[in-house]
Amino acid sequence: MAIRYNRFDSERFVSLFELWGRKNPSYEKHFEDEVIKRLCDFGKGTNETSDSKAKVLGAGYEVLIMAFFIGLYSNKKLPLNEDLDIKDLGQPIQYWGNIDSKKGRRAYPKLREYMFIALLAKTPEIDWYELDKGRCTPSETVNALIMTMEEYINYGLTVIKDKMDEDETYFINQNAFLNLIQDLTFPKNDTLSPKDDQPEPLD
Amino acid sequence: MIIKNISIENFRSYYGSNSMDVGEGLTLIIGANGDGKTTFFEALEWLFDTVDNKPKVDIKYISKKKIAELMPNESAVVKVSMTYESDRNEKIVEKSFKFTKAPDGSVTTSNFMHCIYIQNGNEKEVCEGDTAKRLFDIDFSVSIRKYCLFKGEQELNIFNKEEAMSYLVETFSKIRDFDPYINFTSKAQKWSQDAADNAMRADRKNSKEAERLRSLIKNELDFIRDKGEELKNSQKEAVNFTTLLDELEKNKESSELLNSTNNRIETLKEKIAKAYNSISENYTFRLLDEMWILMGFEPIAREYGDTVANLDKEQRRMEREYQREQGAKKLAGKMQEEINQGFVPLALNIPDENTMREMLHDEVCKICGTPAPKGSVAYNTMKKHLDDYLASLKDTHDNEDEEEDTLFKHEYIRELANRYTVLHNSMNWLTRLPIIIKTEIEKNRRSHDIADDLQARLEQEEEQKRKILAQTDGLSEEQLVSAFNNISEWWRQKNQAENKSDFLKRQIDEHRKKLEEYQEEYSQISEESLAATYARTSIAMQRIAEAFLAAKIHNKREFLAQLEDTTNNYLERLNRGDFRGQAHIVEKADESAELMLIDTDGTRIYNPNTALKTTMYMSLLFAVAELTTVKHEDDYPLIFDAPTSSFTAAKESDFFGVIGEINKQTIIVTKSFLNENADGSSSIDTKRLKAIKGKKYRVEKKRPFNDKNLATIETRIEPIN
Repeated sequence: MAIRYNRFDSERFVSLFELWGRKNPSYEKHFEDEVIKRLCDFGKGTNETSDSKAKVLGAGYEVLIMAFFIGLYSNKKLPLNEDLDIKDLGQPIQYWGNIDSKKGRRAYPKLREYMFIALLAKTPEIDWYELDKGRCTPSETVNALIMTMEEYINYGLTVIKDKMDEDETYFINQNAFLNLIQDLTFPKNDTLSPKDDQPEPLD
Repeated sequence: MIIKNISIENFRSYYGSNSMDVGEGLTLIIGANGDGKTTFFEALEWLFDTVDNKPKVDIKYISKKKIAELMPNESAVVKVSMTYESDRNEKIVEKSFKFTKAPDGSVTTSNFMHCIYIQNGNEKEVCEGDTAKRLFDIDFSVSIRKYCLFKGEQELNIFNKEEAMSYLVETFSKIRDFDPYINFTSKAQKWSQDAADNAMRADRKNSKEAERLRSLIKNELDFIRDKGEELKNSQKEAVNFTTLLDELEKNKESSELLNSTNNRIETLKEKIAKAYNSISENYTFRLLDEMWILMGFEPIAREYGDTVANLDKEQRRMEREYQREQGAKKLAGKMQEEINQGFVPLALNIPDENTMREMLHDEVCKICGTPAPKGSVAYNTMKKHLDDYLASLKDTHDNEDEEEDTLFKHEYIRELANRYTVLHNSMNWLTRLPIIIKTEIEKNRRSHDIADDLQARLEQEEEQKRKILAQTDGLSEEQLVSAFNNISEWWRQKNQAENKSDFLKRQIDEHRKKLEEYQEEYSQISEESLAATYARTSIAMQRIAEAFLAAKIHNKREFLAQLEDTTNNYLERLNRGDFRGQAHIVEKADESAELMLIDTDGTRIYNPNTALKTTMYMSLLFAVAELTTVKHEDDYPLIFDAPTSSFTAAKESDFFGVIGEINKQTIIVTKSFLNENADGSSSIDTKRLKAIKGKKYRVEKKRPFNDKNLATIETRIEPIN
């Protein structure tokens, strides 16, 4: 009899979500200095408090999440340039958004599930019947998902870098990422974010 | 002393020789800022300065223009002179010094001269140096000069200095005339007392009793002296607290206003803090922490739902096709009819068992809303669907251990479907998320508006506070607040000091009586003796001394009352047609005085406007001048530099009009009556000035001049006709 894996009743079943969670998406190394280190406490450990007021994000993965959604909402994937050095954060996706020890921050592990769903929806090249038939492996499928993710991130990082090249302090404004996401998801005339003449936040 | 003429030569901006005749009444010297008004005043200060014999020569007095003009080794003179009349003689007082320009451009001074020229018939007598100084001090005594030159409005209140009143009274009233009598009688009392004591000692019979009384008298005198000191301190303390309370009374309204303003400021600050606390604008974090970043996720979720539904549907179709192809007859047989119908039937477990039973019981298909009575095609279809489902359950249990041949070995599509079920529960939230975010941003915006509004109100309150503090005669906020808080303590201490003073006065009076008794007893020890005569003489002398002292005090009060009356005369004239109140000189226990305005009901008028204050102080000066003229039998001038800077134009005209009519030599340096022209220069308002009696001069910088080079500045004095 053929073995039917069921995530709910078999210890041997490993869901795609779990497999995906073990992965470390890669990015082009140059983005580390150009974007990641400039926006977050990269390399300081997630529990440490940012000692720089200019850093608008906490852990390195937060930059990648922002970049991912920019790519996703732009509906633009940009394959990684294979001629360049590639790197990853060394922190698997399953840990992203788990830490809430920073002052005023909250954990957001559920966001990973939405990212995963987006990847499932936006990776049409996966032949799911072949996967269920056992003719291709879950690992190959997850690799395809990760590639989609990396391409969205790659595009997003390019967008962020362009903004920072134009104005180094662009993202210090607390409205900057909000405006960016909002511009990608809503028509221009249906703005959500505060007007430009609103005072800067107090904190 | 009446000034006839003033000449200024090479003194600062007064280049060359400048001269003006001075009238017996008002002389107005009009000039704009920087035109040399104050320099004119300073030239007179320099001339009048005879405090010591030092030459008072300073290079800063020399006209820069004159220095620039001199050739190397050439000299010129700085000179200020004044022609005046004193004791019906015309005299000229003059101060001068020579200055020489060295080849290197530096300047040295020499030949300081202080002279008085006295016109004696056709001859001119000259006094120099100390003689000139002494003579000038007689003609224009140093004590009078204190009440002669006044710079600005601030200096006009002569009572600002503590010793001013006693100085004024001592100098200008006749009470000094009492001093020799008081001194003599006091000394005579001492002499007769000593003589009585000596005589008593010689009287052996009564010496013991006399010794006892002397000792008692000494004790009483010591007691009265000590308590007198204590009384003085107590009275001083009471005066201090009265002054503080007066200040407080003056600023009571301000104190109360400040207090309530501070309370409002506190409340506003709390509200602002609350408004700011309610603002959460760290939107970058909220994109992640509150998953606002999913604001555009709804279409992706729907896309995912469609994908999963299609995959699931297709997978089921493929599975059935596979089963049919594999010849799974039982299952294929069951499905054959359905497949032939050209559509894929619902899974057997949809709707669930309970729903199926309910629909059969109610005889209605609740999916399409059609009645399905027993026996109808619809009823039978539903019944068959339920039976098939129950059979499939049985099959599953029956075949659990049997090997099953299926097309799909894994259930990853089912994982996708399960994930969609979970996602489906969040769809409502995802749909509402943009609204949630918009509401939050609006809330923050409103909080900002509230905070801004509160901030604006806070600024208004702070402004109000600044205004209150600006109107409180230089008192700091702490002083005002502490005044508000300390009032009861000050009242207590003031009352305590006053009560103590009363108590001490009573004590002193009692002991004075005792002293008198002992003195009387002492004088009666050996009646008819010389000692008794001396003792009685001593008592008489003491009483005479006390009488003179009382007369002195009475005279002082009379002088002050007269001064007050005269001051009010002038005050009335200087404020004709305007509110003025009444000037009142308050004598304090520490021998200082204060000039204040009171209302008709005797209550004090706090914080009168500056113009009224100025006229009050000037009235006192005119009054002092008038009263002292009587004593000195000679007049002296009053010279003011810019005394009316707080006056309105109309008030100024009235003021100068009155001064012009007063029979008093007054020189006023002012920038009144000037209209500013478009090119920065100024011209005289001749229409207004015409109404003023007296001599009028214009001091003005000669044009053109270089605005950066002092050596091009030259002040000219021109009479105005």
